Amino acid sequence: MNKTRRMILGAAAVAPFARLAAPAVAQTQEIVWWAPNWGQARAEELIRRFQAENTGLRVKLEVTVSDGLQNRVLTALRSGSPPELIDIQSGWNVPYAATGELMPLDEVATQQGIALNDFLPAPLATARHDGRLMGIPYRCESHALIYNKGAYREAGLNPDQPPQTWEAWVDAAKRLTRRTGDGRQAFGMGVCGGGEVGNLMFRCMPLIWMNGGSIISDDLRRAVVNEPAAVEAVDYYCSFFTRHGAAPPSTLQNDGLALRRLFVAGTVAQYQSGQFDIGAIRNENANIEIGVAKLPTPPGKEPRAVLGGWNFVVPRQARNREGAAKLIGFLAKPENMGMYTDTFPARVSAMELPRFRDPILTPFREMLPFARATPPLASWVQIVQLFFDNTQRILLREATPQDAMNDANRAIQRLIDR
Amino acid sequence: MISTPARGAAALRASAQGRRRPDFVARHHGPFFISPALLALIALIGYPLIYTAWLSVTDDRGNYVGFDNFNEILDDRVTALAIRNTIVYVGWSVFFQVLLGTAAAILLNQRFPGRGFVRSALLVPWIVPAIVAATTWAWMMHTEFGIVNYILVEAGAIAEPIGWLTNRDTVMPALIAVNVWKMFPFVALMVLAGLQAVPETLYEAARVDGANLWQEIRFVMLPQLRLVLASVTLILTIWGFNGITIIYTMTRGGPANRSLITPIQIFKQAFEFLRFGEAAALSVMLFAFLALLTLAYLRLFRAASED
Amino acid sequence: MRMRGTLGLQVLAGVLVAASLFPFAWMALSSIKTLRELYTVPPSWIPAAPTLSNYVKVLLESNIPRYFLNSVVIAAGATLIALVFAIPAAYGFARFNFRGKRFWQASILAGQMLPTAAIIVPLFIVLRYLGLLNTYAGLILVYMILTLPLCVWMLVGYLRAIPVELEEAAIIDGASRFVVLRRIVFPLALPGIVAVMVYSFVTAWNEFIFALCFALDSRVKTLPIGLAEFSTEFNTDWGAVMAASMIMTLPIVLMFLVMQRVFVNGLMSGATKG
Repeated sequence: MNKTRRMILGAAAVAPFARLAAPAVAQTQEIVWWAPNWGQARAEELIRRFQAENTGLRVKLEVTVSDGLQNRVLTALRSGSPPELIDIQSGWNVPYAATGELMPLDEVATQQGIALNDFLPAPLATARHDGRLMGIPYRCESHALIYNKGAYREAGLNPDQPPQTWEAWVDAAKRLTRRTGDGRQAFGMGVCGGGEVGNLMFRCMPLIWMNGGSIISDDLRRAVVNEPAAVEAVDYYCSFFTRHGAAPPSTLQNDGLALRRLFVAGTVAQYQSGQFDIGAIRNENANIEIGVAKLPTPPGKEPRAVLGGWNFVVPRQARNREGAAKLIGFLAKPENMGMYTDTFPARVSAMELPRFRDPILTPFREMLPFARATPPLASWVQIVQLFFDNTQRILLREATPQDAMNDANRAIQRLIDR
Repeated sequence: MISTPARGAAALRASAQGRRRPDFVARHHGPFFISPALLALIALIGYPLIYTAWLSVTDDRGNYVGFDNFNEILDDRVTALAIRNTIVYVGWSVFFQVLLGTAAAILLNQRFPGRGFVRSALLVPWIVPAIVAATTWAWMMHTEFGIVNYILVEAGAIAEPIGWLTNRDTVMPALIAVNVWKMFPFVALMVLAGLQAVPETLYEAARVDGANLWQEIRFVMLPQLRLVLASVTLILTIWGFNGITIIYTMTRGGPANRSLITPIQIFKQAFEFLRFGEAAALSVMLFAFLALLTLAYLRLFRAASED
Repeated sequence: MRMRGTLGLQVLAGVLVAASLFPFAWMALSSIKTLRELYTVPPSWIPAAPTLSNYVKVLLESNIPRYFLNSVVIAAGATLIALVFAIPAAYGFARFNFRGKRFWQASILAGQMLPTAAIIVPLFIVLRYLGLLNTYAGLILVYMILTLPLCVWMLVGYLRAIPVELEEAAIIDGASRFVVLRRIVFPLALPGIVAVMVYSFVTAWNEFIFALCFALDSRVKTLPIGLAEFSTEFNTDWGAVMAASMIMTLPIVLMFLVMQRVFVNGLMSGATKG
């Protein structure tokens, strides 16, 4: 190694001792964008194109990770030195907006010519707070029923006719709970009873909605999770584990990821999840023949799902709002959104891109119109926690569904009244 | 000069008999030595302390609300449960960490072939990043995937797999076990360093009197380790009240809040429920409790700390 | 010290080592398993087709090498600064009496009594004020705050165990305080200093949440962030995480293997060496 090179390397190693982020005034043209690590390559490509179109603007990508994302975002928002643009999970849009640290984007949308009527209504709903647009959704997805076709055959079920009603779903789960060819115990259904509270909410809430119930009333004033429609649905979901023994003993420690791994290991034959799991299953066990279906419903009812996804938000205290607006305008274009999203895009017109035409995605696409945003409440995460804690009591067989939901209802009502 | 063995040995014997001379330098030397560390800490941690105290008596908009946040968080049914869990978790964890760590240190201070390797190997649990260790344990204790159940079932020790982290009676012991596994090497390291200050002459004297190993531990090592053990215990306790990684990674406080501890509650209040005022209120109470604990400890060990 | 029941000691040590290394062995085995073998029911101990692909991925296709360098600089820097502050402070508490000593010694611990969740935002503000966000120096200072209190407290204990007579003798011989510190206290306290050094280094090496919030640039990010980068929203590349964990852990263990020689058997050997 020659001397110059060594000096340069040395300087590069020492550089981080000094300030990397120069003061605000010096670089008003810079736009700092926080994007998650799994989309890094696509984000870099989009930045390249954006900078080519907008000479003089520079985007600095700072990569975030899934672990502790809220910590990092909230720390930046609350300490008053946030970046210009952040990718967040859509469920956090309203709670963040309620802290007053996000910038309304109605004007940005108009000024940048973002056609809001081209967006699916549910993702747009995740970004609305107090009648204002507090984020731009770019990605959306919904759960469907993922099942193991081989297991269906083994259990004497028709792999091309997945269950459509709740009754058929339980029946299938019971028949799929069996000793496999090599003598191992397998289960018919993966119930999510542990891990992050959102995982359970995404799987149980759709059943409550399908059954005509809810956790809180539409006017957001009343807790209604102890009403019959909701209790019946919660009971139905838990019964796979508590009454039918069709979910594995590990249920109370299984989150979405654990369920997928149990599916990959052949231990559970059906579970609810999104299209992001398909690639992973293929990767981890190519022998499984994956089936996907719309979620079964109570007789004569429509399916429902909780809408998942990601939004762009701009912090209120961002220094370069104008740059942020331009970047959002660019990223919201159908072709860019279609390229950037991991699942489906939030814009209808972007949905036409070839990458969303894979046949295995069809049931997920068909579920999308039935997907709803969670109630736009700042305290929603805390409400979900209360719902989760009490559902775990049912799974622990410590409380009847009605008693558990009565307790949940009381605690949730207290939160709403506060 | 001063470190000639003869002179050193004489001095050691003097101190071993507990005879100490009065302070032999000017009183202002103490503040001179401690002030750099104190100033550095105050400069960096002073603002966070004030900020947290202020946050605990204000609402989201920064208005002064008195003790509202305190009342709100004390009204939460989960708070009392979390405090109970915390005391159980910290109490048993610290007890076993200190016990096992001290035993390991005494063992590692004996002479036997392969000692260097054993000393390094025992540190591994503590060196492995906590989040990785916790995730690994969670999988090893998984009812279906877990190697722990697999081994126990194969060995015939249990008939059916046990839901270590899902059963209300096993979840806390399992978490405590992981916490002890993670931190006992730290205690061993600190105590082993403390054992280096035990003069060889004391062992020799004990052996002349025909002491066995247990008597050596009881009458030679432990008295010399008193201050080190007390400091380690206090610090482990403080960390225990603030550490969340193991439980948060393994159970998130579940099932049904059976393993919810106060620091996790604070974390959730702040970064999940975005109720920063209440999180600050709970932090202030925890701070006050730990500060009292520390002062009580210093009073208890006054003799040792001030002679 | 004479050998006492060597075999018994070795058996005991063997049991302890086995208990300590059991999960670590599981991690090591996981790091050479293929994706298909990582999650099976029932679990399998020995990989049927061991692979080094996880290590290749970690070393060649990830940010881990760069973060390793960052971690070395930050952990070493934090350890050094913590010791520079801690040794005199501990000496001050161990050897002198002065007004309010108990209060000041307790207040050294004040920073440890607030949960991370409470101090992270204000600490961010302090670092921004100092212009140290996104810098080595910023993280070094943060880790100094984390580790200094324990260093001081433990060193007080170690220093008090050193007979004060040795220092008195030197002072009578005309040595200055600093000479005493360097020539007598430091060598005798070396085992204790090494212990808190290892502690500081490991703490800074493994810390996640502050690094996550205060280091946004890959030129400053540390190894724990690198571990988190093997996860996506709904997936974790567990084999890679395990391989990276090995790469994070083993150098420290080796470092300690070399340093543990300072732990001898008792003060006399230490005193004659110094």
